Amino acid sequence: MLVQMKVRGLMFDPYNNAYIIILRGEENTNVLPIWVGRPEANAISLALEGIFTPRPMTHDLIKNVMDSLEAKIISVVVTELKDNTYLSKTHLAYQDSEITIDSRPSDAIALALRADAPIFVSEETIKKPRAEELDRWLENLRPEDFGKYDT
Amino acid sequence: MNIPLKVDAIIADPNTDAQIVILKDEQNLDLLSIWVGMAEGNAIRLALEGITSPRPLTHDLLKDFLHHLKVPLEKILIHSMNGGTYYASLHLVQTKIKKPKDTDTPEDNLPETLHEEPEEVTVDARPSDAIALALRMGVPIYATEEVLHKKGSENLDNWLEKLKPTDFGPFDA
Repeated sequence: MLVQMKVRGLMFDPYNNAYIIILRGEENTNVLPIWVGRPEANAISLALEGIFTPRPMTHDLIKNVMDSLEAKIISVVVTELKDNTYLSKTHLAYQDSEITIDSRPSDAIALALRADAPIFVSEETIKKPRAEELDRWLENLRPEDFGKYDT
Repeated sequence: MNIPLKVDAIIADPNTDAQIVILKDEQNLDLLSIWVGMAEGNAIRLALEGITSPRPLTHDLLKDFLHHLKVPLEKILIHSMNGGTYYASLHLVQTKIKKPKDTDTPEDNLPETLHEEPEEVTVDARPSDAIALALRMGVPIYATEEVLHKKGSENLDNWLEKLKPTDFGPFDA
């Protein structure tokens, strides 16, 4: 089963010098943190803040290519956690058919935000037991940590 | 006229976070240097060195999209330069499916899917993204003659304006 989630926050992880996207379910019960690199975090942050750059950034380019070809990004699905890496798929509608393309969650989410497409996460990915340390970290998160995206 | 270029090198600019892509024409007569961001520079470097990442990076994803949509990239063109910014375009070839209502042609035994004539679709892009994609897809990189020649004088003008007397050094007798 798939659970729809929204990007609720973007945080800097100083220990790993990386960024964390916080996905949360509609009922705010499930939280999924995904570690991403700096350029991808930047691409997500621009979309969250609704900032338009004078020139198209890489994900804007992908969106523009899709628009020009009349292809539509329908949805993004985070399918599984494998060897500490989240795998996801981007679903496109093109010329009366649906195409599924393997992609990193960071790229898929950056595109979903630009295309107003829903983000889904498979239930097993959410339920998968994570390291105790991470659970403790998540439990200690305060609402302020999520920043201004938490509506 | 469009002139084919090859990516000659990618260099880190020691003064900023940026990287410089050096493009040369086939005779090594003309040279175009374009400043790009760190992420885009890395995307170009990986393609130049033929390194494939275990997971698709952003430009690999665009390549995969085009591959799955069966839309080939014909070429990329760096077509203009304005205020120090280069502008490029992706030239895609799209074959649309003919809509049934269009088929009021006399033939009866039409094949199941009809395709229209392939048409060129151009998409505006930053040169860095266009080059990163071109290298991954093995398609030619072009620049207009205008861009190649404009660059020469503008860069030189900038450089001349910034010259300080001390730059002339020991030759200033």
